[in-house]
Amino acid sequence: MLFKLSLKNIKKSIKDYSIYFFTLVFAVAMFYMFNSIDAQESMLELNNSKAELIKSLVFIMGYISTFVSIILGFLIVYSNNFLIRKRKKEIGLYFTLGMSKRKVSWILVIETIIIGLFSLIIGLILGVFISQFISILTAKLFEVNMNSFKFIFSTSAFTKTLLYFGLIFILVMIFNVITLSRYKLIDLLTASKKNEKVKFRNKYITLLTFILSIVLIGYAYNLLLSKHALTMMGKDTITMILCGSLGTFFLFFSLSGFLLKVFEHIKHIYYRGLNMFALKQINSKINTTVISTTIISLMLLLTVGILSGSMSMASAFNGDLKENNLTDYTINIFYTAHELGEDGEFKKVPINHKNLEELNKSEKFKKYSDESIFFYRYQTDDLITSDMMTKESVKKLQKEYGSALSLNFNVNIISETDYKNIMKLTKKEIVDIKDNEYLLLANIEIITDAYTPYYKSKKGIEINGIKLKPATDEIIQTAIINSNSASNDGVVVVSDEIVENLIKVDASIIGNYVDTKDVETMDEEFRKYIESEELSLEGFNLRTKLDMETSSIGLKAILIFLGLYLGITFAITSATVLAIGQLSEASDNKNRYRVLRQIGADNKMLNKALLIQIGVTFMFPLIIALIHSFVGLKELNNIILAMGHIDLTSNIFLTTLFILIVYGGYFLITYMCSKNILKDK
Amino acid sequence: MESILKIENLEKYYGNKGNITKAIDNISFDIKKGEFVAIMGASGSGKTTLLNCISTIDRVTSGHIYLGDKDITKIKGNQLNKFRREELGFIFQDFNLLDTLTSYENIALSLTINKEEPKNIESKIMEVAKELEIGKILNKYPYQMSGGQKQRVAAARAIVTNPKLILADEPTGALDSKSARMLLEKMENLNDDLKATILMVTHDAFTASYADRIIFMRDGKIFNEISKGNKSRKEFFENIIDIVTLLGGDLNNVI
Repeated sequence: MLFKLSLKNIKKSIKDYSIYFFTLVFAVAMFYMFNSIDAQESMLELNNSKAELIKSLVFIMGYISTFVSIILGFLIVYSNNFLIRKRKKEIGLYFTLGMSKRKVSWILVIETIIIGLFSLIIGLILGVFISQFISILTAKLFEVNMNSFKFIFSTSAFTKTLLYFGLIFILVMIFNVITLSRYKLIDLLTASKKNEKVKFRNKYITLLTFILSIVLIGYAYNLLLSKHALTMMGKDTITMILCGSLGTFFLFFSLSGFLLKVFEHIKHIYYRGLNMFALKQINSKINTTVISTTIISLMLLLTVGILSGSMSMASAFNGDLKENNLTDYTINIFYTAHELGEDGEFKKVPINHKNLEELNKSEKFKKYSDESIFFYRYQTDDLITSDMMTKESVKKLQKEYGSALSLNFNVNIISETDYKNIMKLTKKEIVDIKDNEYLLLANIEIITDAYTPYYKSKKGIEINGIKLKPATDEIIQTAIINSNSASNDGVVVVSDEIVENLIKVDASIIGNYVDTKDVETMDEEFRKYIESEELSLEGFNLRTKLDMETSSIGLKAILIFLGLYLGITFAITSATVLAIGQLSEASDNKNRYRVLRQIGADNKMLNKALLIQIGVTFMFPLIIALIHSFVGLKELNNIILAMGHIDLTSNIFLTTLFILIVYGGYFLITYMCSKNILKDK
Repeated sequence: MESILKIENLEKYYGNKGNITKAIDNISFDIKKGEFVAIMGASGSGKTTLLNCISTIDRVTSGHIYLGDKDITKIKGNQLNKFRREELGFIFQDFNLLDTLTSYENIALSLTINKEEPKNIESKIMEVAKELEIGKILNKYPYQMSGGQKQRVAAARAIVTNPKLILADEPTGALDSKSARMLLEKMENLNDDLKATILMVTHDAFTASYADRIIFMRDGKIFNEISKGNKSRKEFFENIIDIVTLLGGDLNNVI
């Protein structure tokens, strides 16, 4: 009997709250999907290093999943609580009919079990299905081929999903029973009759909070933009987050009232059709939901931030790997280290480099790599980065990146001979320089842009009292040391005589392998040789092209998966909370819409009013989140820019598209369901 | 006087073939322009069904209802809403004001639904507010008002669009006697001063005594009909009580 009752209840609410059940199924599917990456290994042609990457990706996804499950847990418990409160009258009826609290609790428990089971079954089937397609994405991200299309099923993801969601549903049951035990029969029966006092706030208080919110948000923006509170973690960061959140709260507290007052004076809009009704409706509701609106808005901000941030960072690794890794390997040893002297000052101490020069000549080394170049990089205290920029460039950089970017580094210098050898090795064009000329090599976009005006002005530089003029019109775009992103922040080339008097800072060998048919084995053997004790190299940094490729791919994949996982979670959480609030409001509004219909409003007018109401409720937090993120992204950009080249426009487009689909989808479904609830039956 | 509402052989059946309830059983009557007519009857006599048919909320089984020269039983779809908002005004027992709007806005809503020009709204509202003495409460929300005030605002909302016919369903049902008397006086004024045609459904003899003419219903049929003529309200009220007594114990909740 109880089972039958539960089943009927579910059937009834599935129609009105389909979006909640949809979210449950989707959450389960997503959770399975992002945890099933381990099973995809069998489908992909992976080498050892890429297999390692997948392992670390699975590891990270595991940690994130715990966090995601907490958010989803909150979402499910919150939504469920909301739905239970809507059923007061029904529960009251059970009590009146003489059912004990125990039995009514049983009804709710059985309902939760049925819903849980169904969403798990459908969600898992969906998850298994979609994960087949996800493996195509994985293959693409890891730049590997799929050896054959196999049906994949991850037992670990399956059990993990069952366990985590099982726990969430048990929590839901406990909350339901607690809520139920607090109910009093009289409240339950009169719940629908209770006249909700509609409160509209005093206009002076509204205006005051509005001004306060603008001040707080303005202060937070100021901290972000001028103090770089996002890049420089510290006291300012916390102040910024607090001021921003509080300001957003006050903004939602006052904004609708403020706008309402404005609209009231625009009579030809206010007194048109049901506009007046829709606006008042929004205002009366938003007053009671300020906290949830604030949280939703901040979650949307996180969605935008995480998605565009991770995608942008991922695209920083998208830069042409061949351009950033000109040779098969680079070995690099600092010629000097800094050591604390007795007088408390740091002193430059030379470390062992002789081995490296000898290594480059040794017969054994030639067996691995027959074309290689050994060279030093020099520095002088006379020449720092900002000496090669115009004052305007320096100011611009400091304004945009603040202390995140230092311009007081000594510039690296190499000799003309070494430069020509490197260019020959990497098959690049060679430029001749005279004794009083210099060349500038760089490939980080923002740095190159900052150097350009000064370089073009031909003002020249001075090294040890010798004045030098640029030998070319443009800076030469090239990498020297291997890296997974653009990393050459400027190397000056001068004639061999000049470098003789400079301080050596590091020594490097760059070169190509003898045989590149099996790069992986070659790479492994070469690394073993370089690391072997017989060479006893100290403090070296070996970067092979393959390493860079793998780490670049790995970081990119992790960032993309992470961004998608968290982005989807935050987006569906905020959209669901909004949707459920709107749907339950629709059932509250049934009576109001009936009155409107009676005094002659037709369906077209009613639908328009409903669209305005739901549209504004969805748009409000999104617009505020977008404004915040627009400002925030500008800062975030700087972090990413420091990593090299970036294509922000395409990422903003992607993020917008994503939000449009997820958030817009929830909006449409909410509108349709609300229309259905309000339909004249 | 021309008749504004004309009902011909109206029938409304509920149920299916095997089990038919005749809520309205072949009724015909008409209402003249500027008349204040009350329909009295016990619960289940069919008076509310009749009102629903006239207000196009319910469809008739057979017969015709003419408002002016239009047969409203032939109107369909969106035209129904148009008809309802342009030709009819409603006053309900439980006021049905929107709780998120002020009195002023509640009245204005009925105009905006009618696509009234925004610039004309204020003068129209002020006019009816004066007639119904609600000028002082125009900026109040329903929860700040008494039942009588709410019903007068509802009456203002019904009259402001200048409808052909005002339908009032137990307008005094939720009011105390003092508020009821005041509302009825106001309705009388609307009828006298603004020449509003009013059709009111009630089971209360005192309320009905404010009308010019009363139609008594029983079991879906017209049972009797009396006019006030030149009688005083007290005499008319006694008249009503006599008929109510004739109707039997069905109408036991009279004053």
